[in-house]
Amino acid sequence: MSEKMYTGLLRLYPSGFRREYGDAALRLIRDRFRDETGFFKRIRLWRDLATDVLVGLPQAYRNSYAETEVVSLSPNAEGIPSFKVLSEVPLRRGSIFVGGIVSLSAIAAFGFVLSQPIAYLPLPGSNARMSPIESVMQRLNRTTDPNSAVDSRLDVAKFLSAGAGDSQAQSSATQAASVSKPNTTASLHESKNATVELDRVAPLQNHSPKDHSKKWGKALAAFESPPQDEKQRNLGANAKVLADELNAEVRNGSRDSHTFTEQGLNSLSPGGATAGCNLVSVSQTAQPEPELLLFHASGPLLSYEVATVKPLAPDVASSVVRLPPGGSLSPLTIRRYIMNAYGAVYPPQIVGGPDWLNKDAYDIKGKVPDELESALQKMTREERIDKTRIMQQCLLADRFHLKAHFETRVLPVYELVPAKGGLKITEVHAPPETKPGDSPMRSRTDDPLPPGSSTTAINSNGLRVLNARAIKMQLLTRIIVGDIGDRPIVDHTGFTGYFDITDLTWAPLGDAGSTSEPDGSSIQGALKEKFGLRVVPTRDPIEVLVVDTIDRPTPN
Amino acid sequence: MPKRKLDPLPSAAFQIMLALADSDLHGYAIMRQIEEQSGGRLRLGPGTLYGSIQALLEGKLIEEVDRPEDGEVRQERRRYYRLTVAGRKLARSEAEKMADVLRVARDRKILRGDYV
Repeated sequence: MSEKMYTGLLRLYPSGFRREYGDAALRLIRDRFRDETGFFKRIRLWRDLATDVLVGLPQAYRNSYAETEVVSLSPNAEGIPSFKVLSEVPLRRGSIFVGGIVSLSAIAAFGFVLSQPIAYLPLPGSNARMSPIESVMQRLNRTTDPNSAVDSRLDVAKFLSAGAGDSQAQSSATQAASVSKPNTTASLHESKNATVELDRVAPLQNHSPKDHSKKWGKALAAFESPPQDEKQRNLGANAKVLADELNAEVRNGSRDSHTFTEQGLNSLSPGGATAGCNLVSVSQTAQPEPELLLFHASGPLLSYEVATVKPLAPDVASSVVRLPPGGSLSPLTIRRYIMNAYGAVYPPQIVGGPDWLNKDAYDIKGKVPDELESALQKMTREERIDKTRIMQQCLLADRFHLKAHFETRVLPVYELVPAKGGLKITEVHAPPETKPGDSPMRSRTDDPLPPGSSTTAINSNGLRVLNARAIKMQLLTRIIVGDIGDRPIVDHTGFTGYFDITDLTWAPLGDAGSTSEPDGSSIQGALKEKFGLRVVPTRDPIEVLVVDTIDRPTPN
Repeated sequence: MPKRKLDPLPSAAFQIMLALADSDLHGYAIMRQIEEQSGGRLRLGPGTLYGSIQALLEGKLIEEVDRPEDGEVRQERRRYYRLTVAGRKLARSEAEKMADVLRVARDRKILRGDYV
């Protein structure tokens, strides 16, 4: 038994050692076992053997390697150094098979790892800010869609133009990137910001010569496809004027990183019916794709022809409405106005700013220019809302001197997802487009709901009852969020169509338990039962607007 | 002498050379001799013993000799080892180094006279 165990230990030694001294070692052990009897002597013997393996094994291999070194350097019969086969024992088939499998697995694993996209992980303590190179790498790793493709070109343009700070190359590159994107103004905002950011980090980069930057900037511009129609060509020309002007200002250091010249912005406005304003900039921080996107101004900048901002009595602001989530907020406060202007659904999406944003109440009225008013009549509802938001943003910039930037922050949210059994939703047709001046589709309360609308009522049992026709999931989330909790809701159902809601009934939050309805359920239960939807608390990246500075309004 | 194996001379190799100073011995006898000369403090296992013997053989400090079994018929032939002239010289040199160290230790009152 003991001899068998030592025979097993002996297998750990090099084959050359076993061949030469294996028998002698076994004999020595046999002798010791014969002579050293008794419990304590056997314990001592096994301790010696364990120590011997720890000490003697490395020595045996050291001797074996030294032997290898000597032999491998020896020349052959012709005096030419050559390799020699050291082991006379051929490899066993099993060893070859196992070695082959392990090698192939390692190669396959290595290839698989190389084929995977590398996710960007900001370094700890880096404040989530990425360098231009990292930014480009992140963009390249993304799935390509038309918008992200344009963004990639813009980033490449920024990167190339950052090399030596060559203003001409910068202008060419940023122009090339921005003219192919319908969102020309926003692109130029990004370009301006990027210019400032890159100038700041430029000393840290390994700059290429100026000529190279210029050459590559022009090459990129030539690579980009030219504008497809007259409108795009006009936008491109305007973009170039503005880009040149912005770069000149950056060189002179005469402009803040978040502002534009009024002249430059007016040059983008067809017909000259707008006034200039300073919109928010795009933050250049490392951010994942956010949810609950805010409204980013695009196209020509619009502003009210005349606007009046009248402060109201302090008690007026107390006439609050409940804005889910985030507590109560007066519709007359500036924070609420900012939410409207930037398409924020939830108060937590507007971050920072002084306390008076939540307290001071204002009556804000603006007169839309006549020609714009007639143009608005021909637009869709969404387009009209967008134009109004642009004018509201301009008013905030002009009268309140709002300076802000977009960011993505990971916030606690509720996620709306399909339940285990799947969605129980029937898709319906989209509601017809309405225009201002169309006759109302529902003149009496007992008429059927018009498509695209919803109504909420409290029944005699104190339960909330929701009915809707041809609405989207996003609208449902806004209606129900007040009765779920204090977090925004993000739609992860994957259902993008329209659907009807008939008598979705639930107990309002806070009233649950006090209702006279014995089987009154929460909104979560109602959603699961009626639509196969589940509400899950989680954390998601949300787009927010961070208020950098804002002043009380200037007198009229 | 292979530099990498026996320079400096390991304690086990020195003990083996000391054990072989008086007579030719086989592996097990070397182990017993070392145990005796070290006062039972050192018992070499087979791996250490034959690893050291291998290095000493390659360094030509010991050699393998044929020795008839003393009137005893054995099925397995034992391998006997003998200290070579070079081995004896190296062992003496190593012992002198140790003696120098002991002398210094005694001068510094680290060792008392009755040790050496």
